[in-house]
Amino acid sequence: MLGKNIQILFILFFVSNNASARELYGPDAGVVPFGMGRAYSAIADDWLALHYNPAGLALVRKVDFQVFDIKVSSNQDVIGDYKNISDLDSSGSTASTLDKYAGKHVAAQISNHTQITVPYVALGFSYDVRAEIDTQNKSLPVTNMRFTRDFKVSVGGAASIGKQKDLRFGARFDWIKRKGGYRKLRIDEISGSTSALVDFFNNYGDGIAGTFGMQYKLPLQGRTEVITSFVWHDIGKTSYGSHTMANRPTRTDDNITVGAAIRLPIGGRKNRRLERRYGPTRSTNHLTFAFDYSHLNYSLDEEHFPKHIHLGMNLDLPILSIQLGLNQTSFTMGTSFDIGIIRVAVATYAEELGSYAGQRRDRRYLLSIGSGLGFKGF
Amino acid sequence: MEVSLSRTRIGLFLFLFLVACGNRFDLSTERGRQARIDDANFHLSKGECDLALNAINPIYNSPHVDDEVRLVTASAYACRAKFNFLALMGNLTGASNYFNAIAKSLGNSAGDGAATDIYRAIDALSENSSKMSGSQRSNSINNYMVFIQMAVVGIMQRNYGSPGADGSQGTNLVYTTGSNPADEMSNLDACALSASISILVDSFNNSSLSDSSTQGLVTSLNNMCTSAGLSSCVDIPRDRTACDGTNANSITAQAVISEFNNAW
Repeated sequence: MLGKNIQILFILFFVSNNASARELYGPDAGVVPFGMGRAYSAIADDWLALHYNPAGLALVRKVDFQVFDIKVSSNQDVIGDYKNISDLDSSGSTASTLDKYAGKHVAAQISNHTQITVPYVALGFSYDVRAEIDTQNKSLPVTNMRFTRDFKVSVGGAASIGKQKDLRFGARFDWIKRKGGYRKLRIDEISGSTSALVDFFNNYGDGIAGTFGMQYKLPLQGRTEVITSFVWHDIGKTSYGSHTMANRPTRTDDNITVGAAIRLPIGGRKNRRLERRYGPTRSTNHLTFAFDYSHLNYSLDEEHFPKHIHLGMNLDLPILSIQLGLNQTSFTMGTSFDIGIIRVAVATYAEELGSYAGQRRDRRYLLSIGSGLGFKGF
Repeated sequence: MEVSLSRTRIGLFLFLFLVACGNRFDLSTERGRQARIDDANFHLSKGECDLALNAINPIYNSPHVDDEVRLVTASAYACRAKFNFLALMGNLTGASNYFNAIAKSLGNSAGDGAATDIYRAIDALSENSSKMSGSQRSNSINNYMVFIQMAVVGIMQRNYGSPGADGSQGTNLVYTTGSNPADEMSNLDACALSASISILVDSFNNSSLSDSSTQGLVTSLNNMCTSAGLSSCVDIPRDRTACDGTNANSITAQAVISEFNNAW
């Protein structure tokens, strides 16, 4: 009973687009990519490669055991509505509960990634809980809710061609156990009780997902790297559970992303922070600019052009790294640094929730704390 | 040459940008139509009723109009009538007196034009009175029609019944056939109130609403209609313009309003 109440609270209030005006979901591991405007497919060459482009696993030179990487995120409306959330009462009607949040998008997420990454191969376990409430129009509520709880086991591998691994390709397979999904509530559902609402998000389903990725480093002279990329996430869409299930967990749509990046080494000094984690190769201070065009599989008639665009910059220095970027039409920034074996990363970004860019932006804040152990390479 | 090249580049960039972005409100595309609906919903979240109407009207007046557009248009007019669905539903849930709950959920006052706006909302849902029977309309339209008719009831309560802060009745609603003095309900409002009870019950019978509060209200209305000598609420004429103060529709409206006072 206590567990159900907690779930009600979590679904209705603690946590976080579309309806057909929708948020374009993408890979969401880590924090650094968000500071870079989610432009990461061409530059993924660390543990995040498993999630953003498995081809990048070919560049890993060391054994990296990430014991945990706990991430919390929330949006502006969670912070602004803290009092309403803390006064939450699950015994009321759905309507009176939603009335407090009319015109707002309340979103929050908690996740953890545990992963072992070795050259060419990675194995990861992740747990992710996310909830959102978006209520528009007080006269006729258009309410979109999301509550998902995913447990995922991911295995990825990569191979490379060329003396300097110029052409890299990789694949990832996921087994996912999902509870809940996204739902647009009808007014006959809003007129009921909150406990009835929770039943929509109570079903579990298993799914198998496949992702394929490529990276190609252009054959240029010097230490500057120009890289192009292609990733197809969740090939063929990922469904959960049987198609005969009522309130089946919402599937994950596929996402084709193409990208490019230029990586400019700064001086010849080794960056010990990176070297400690990923081995000596390419571990110099560097400045990177990246571009991704995501959701290539959605035409411009379906999704407004700027919603596909991601631009980012990462400056890797010995003490910390700094990220700046543009996610769709919104400014992003972040930083990451190590305290002993603890890695801390923070970022802010905004996501488009409307049917065209600029219609509705949702500003979000992320914090992650991770502990990684690096071992000598092969 | 340098200047020319620069202009060419800028022109090319602007051309590509405009082509890529397109007309965000192009009604011939699904995204363009959705953009107008989203804009209207966004304005309605902030109580910007007229801006919502400006956003939705081009598609409402186009061949692309469908039930979703009708619903949003109706909600924009309901917004002008100070109707808040969530407040109404929240007050209705578990209420001991449904009519008090309705009266306190509306925000209008006499003479503010709320009645005119809510009539326009009904016209949007009924396709200008061409679909006055619930069986002619879709489930989603009937669901909303139930609550819009509650709004009609609430507006009449506030315009003529002087409700207290808790929605309790202050004075009786008065409609007298034949005389119809100035301080009584107008023919239009009297007929609209009695018609709203008929449309509400009929829409509920053709809806997917099943919550106990709405069901309880419909039961109360049916009891009221029986007390007024009608076999069923759905027998009440649904044309709000049909009362002239002396005809059969007016006599029915008078009987219904009399029983409404007893029920409130």
